[in-house]
Amino acid sequence: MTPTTPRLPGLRPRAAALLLALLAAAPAPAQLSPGPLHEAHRKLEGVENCTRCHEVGRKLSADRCLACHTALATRIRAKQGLHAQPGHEACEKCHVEHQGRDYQLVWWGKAGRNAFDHAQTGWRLEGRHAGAACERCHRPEAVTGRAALVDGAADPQRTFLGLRADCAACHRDPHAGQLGTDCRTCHGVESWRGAAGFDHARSRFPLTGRHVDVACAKCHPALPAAAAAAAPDTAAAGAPTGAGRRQWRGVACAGCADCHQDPHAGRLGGACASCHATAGWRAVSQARFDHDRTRYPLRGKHAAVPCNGCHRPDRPARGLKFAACADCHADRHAGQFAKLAGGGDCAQCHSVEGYAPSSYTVERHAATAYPLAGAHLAVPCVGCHARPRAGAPVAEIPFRFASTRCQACHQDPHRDEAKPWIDKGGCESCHRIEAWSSPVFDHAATQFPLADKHATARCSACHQPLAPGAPRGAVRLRGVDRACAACHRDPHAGQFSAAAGGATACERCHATANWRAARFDHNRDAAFRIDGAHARTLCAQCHPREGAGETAVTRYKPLGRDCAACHRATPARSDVPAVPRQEGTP
Amino acid sequence: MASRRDTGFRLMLAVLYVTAAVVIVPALIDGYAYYAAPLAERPRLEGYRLLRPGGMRGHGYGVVGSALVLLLLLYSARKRARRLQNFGTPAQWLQVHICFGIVGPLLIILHTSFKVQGLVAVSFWSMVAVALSGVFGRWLYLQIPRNLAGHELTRQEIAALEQDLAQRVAQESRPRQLVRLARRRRKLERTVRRLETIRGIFHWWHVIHKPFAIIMLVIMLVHVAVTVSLGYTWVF
Repeated sequence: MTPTTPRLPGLRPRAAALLLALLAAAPAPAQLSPGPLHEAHRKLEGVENCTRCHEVGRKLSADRCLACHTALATRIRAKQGLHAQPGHEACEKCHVEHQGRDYQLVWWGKAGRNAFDHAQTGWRLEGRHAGAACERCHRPEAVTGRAALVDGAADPQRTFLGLRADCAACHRDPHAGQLGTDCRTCHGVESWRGAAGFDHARSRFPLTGRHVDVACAKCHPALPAAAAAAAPDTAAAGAPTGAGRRQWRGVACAGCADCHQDPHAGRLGGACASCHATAGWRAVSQARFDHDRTRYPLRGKHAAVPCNGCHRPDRPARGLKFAACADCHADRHAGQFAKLAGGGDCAQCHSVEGYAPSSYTVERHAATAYPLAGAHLAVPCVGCHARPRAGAPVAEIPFRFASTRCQACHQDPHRDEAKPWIDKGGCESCHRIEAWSSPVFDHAATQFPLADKHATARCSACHQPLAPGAPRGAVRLRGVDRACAACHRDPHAGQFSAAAGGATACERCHATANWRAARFDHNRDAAFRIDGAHARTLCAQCHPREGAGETAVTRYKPLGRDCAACHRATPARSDVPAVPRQEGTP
Repeated sequence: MASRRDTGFRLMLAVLYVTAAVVIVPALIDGYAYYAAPLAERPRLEGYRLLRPGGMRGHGYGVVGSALVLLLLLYSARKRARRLQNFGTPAQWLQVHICFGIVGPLLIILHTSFKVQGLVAVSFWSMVAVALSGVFGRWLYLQIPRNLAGHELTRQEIAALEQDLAQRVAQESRPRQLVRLARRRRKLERTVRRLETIRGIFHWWHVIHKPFAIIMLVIMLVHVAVTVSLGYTWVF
């Protein structure tokens, strides 16, 4: 049995199958390409174009690529740009083809485009440039030489070529052409603001002093709108505007008034520099400034006061009051004179020649509620107007007193011994303003009127200090013992005290007129009558002195009354001292 | 002698399969990230330079796979060239043909990096069709009775085989052997019954298998010729 094979008419089965298979394959892309080319290379599709990129026997050829991409080839020959760098010879390392029409033809590495090392292009991105998005600079509208690029197979809409290296290629000139085209003379890549490279010292107005810190806009006004509008824009979007559109050239700077207002309203003339310097408005040169040109010429001590003594930072010169001393000076008297006529004008007592001495006079004091008189006239001011304590401020010096009585100033030196008199009539009861040390006291009004010798005795002879070493005045004034012995020493050594019952009755013999025993009558008061020759005999013939020196005492009693007691003819009594005979006496 | 030769062949075949597995499986694992990536992302991946069809490894897969595909043509040549018929049996040649027909396309798949487009895709899909039809052909092949050497049995030999089985069934008294022989006899009878149908299908199978193989080969040769001419010669 022979197998039968079905046959198609006119064709062998295998040939027919082969034909069918080929027909089935016909819809497949009739090319050998491993994949569609990018849209940019669409025209290179087709087997006939393989060798336009691939060189026979040599794989992919950069030369073939550059045969079209002549814009790049030119730069590579000139050793410019990324593609001229070593390691970039093989195009396919970064530009993988046959991946489809819309495949991203540029491979920026795993880190992506933003991590691209721009330094490889020969243009290192520094400062703010380093963080800028690619599109900020690589904008189609910024591409120059477009025709050449198109001829060199570079698409101006996508190429990274064609950018100028000058700042104006990307940045708008905010200075409207005033400062030329070399931005880097003043600006760095770190920041547009600040113009770090600009040196104002090279301008016709070098900045000194406080001018250094002044914001540019304070002197450089904004450009007029018309000028700004007419300024050439060298680039499109993305450039700073506003801040830089100021008048940088032709700013008037001949005089201070070009920028500064005259706070003196012309009173001091227009030569500001004659007083002021750029170191600071307040740093006025004392040597150069003539204060006499102001409404307040400096006189006296004011002439030597540093400017900032009055023109302090918290008290600017403009509007500074100077009519009254208090406008500058604090009232050292804490308002004690505020109620005086004239409001306590300092000038009533003080002058610009100096705070001290005061020009206040005794005569003016006479017009006060407490005119000075007597000894007060000689008292220095500080005697009454004294600081309450050492180092106390002037404000505590009293100029107003609650009372004009002596006690307001004076302490009571008598320690209350004179209280009855002070309470009754004040210190004036005894003292006069002319001198404290000469009291006027009516001793007759006391229980011990003074007479004779007592009237002339010193007060202190009877009024003893209250305590040893007590100050002057601190004496016993009240309760003074009126007995003679309280003040006087008994010169008789107590010879007469027995007769008075223990106390010597001085007044029996003595009076206040003098010490002599004016009241003693020998024939009346003594037991021994004197007559005859005795009446002519000196007292001392019978009353001898006993002892020596200050303790010597005249013997009055007891004395013997017999003759022999005095006379030698008679044996001497042992208990009566012999009275030595004196020459010239019987 | 024949048994020892058969053992050697089987060993050689096992070595071939194991070697192919050692190459292909790690290659799939190692290149998984690349092969699984979308086509657009592949050029950005680490393995692109190595695993892309033109890469060192990818190109190698293609060269070896193509070589194996060319070598398996020797099976067809053996059918036509008498000199080659002195080497091995048809079954052994078929085993080698099948082995190369499996490993070669697998390597070529790796070569394509699972990206098939362009004219060479026709070759690829033809290869797939040939390979799949080969699997089907292998099944058809098993349906046709053959002797130990793999030669197709003649009608007389089948009749003799049927007669021999009938006698052995008649003589067999052991139940288990009897059941086994009965099954073989029934299977043989079923095979004989549909032998003509199988032969008819097998004839048409050739109509599928061979033309696609030719298409595959022609386009593959064009593909190879173009790439070689453009300088992509792998390590050569």
